[in-house]
Amino acid sequence: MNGDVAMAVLPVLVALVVLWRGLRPLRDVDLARWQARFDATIPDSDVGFVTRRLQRSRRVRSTLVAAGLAIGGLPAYMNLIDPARSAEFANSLVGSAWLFGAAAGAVIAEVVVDQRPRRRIAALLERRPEDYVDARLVRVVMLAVPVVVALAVISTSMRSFDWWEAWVGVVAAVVAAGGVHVGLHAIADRPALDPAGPVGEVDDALRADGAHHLVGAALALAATGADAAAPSLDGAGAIPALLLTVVALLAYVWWWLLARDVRWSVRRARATA
Amino acid sequence: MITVSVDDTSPVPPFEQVRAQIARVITTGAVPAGARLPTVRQLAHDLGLAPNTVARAYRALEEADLVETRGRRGTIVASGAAGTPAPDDALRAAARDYLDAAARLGASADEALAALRAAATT
Repeated sequence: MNGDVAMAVLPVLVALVVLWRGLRPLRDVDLARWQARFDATIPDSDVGFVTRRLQRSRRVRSTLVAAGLAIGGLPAYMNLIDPARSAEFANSLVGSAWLFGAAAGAVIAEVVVDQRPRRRIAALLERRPEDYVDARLVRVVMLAVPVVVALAVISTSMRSFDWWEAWVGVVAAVVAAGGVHVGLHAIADRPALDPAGPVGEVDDALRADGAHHLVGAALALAATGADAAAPSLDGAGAIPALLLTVVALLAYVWWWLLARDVRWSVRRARATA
Repeated sequence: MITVSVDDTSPVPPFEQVRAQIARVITTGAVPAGARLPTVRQLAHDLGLAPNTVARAYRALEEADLVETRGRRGTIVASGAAGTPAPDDALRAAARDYLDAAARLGASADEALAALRAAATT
């Protein structure tokens, strides 16, 4: 297999691995970790319900990431089909398609949840997005928009290499901020299952889980947008752009941690609000 | 946790049930002044009501000076609206909270009462 074929096959393989991981069933150890992470105890009667919800969200997210990864391989596919046109597809929009897919998947996974209350009982307690995820992270995503716009304006005025790609960075930041806004309100406004029953804390944990996936993907997308918007300079002028690349890499790590590791207790978040 | 509920079998209209329950918890001091109430959309979704029904209840509460609506900042209990809970009301509210906590642990009301008696005698 020559290098060009390998480069074309690699994105597809990675996409299939992502898809496979997203489709595999949740194990008992996964549920135990999830309960510990989000300070919730799943009643025996609700294990099936929680498992189905978590698996469906994971399927939606991984499917869209996989689609984005496959799209990201477009330059490599074109290199096999029509090498002269391959360069047309080698840009930051195609390259970050997987991140757009991740953010879209995280939003869609929350928006499509059709949850009905089990009893006609409501807690006299406003559900706010900051109950489910650190509000500081949300502010970082929102503040990224004006920062990325400023970087794009600088890049455009300097006409640095591929200056138009800076505006792809703006699109990324706007999509990240918009996705967080829409997704977090979908999470908070979703009907409560049964606030007075044992499933109440599980309901909160499911919301927090979705919020963490959403904000993590948005952080990674916004940071990548900032990296794409930064002007390309030589010499010492390259340092700020290099720093933004490091920030983007750190955002990927933070996304991983938010999606899999960071602990969050809705009960504690409300008590300290 | 303070809750409101809708009884489908009651002849009282849903908006009046919601209004009366919220008015009671405010005037007995169970919910302090400045506390934020759920948004119209959230309360409507949770109770299976139309948003306009909840909005009507909130308007009635605002006309009675029990709540203040602050647009995007939501609806809060008005200052001066919250009463000081009578000792009996506070005790009943505490008992309700305990029974809710026991229910979340999967205990029945009888089991919760037995645990309370055991704790009281030790």
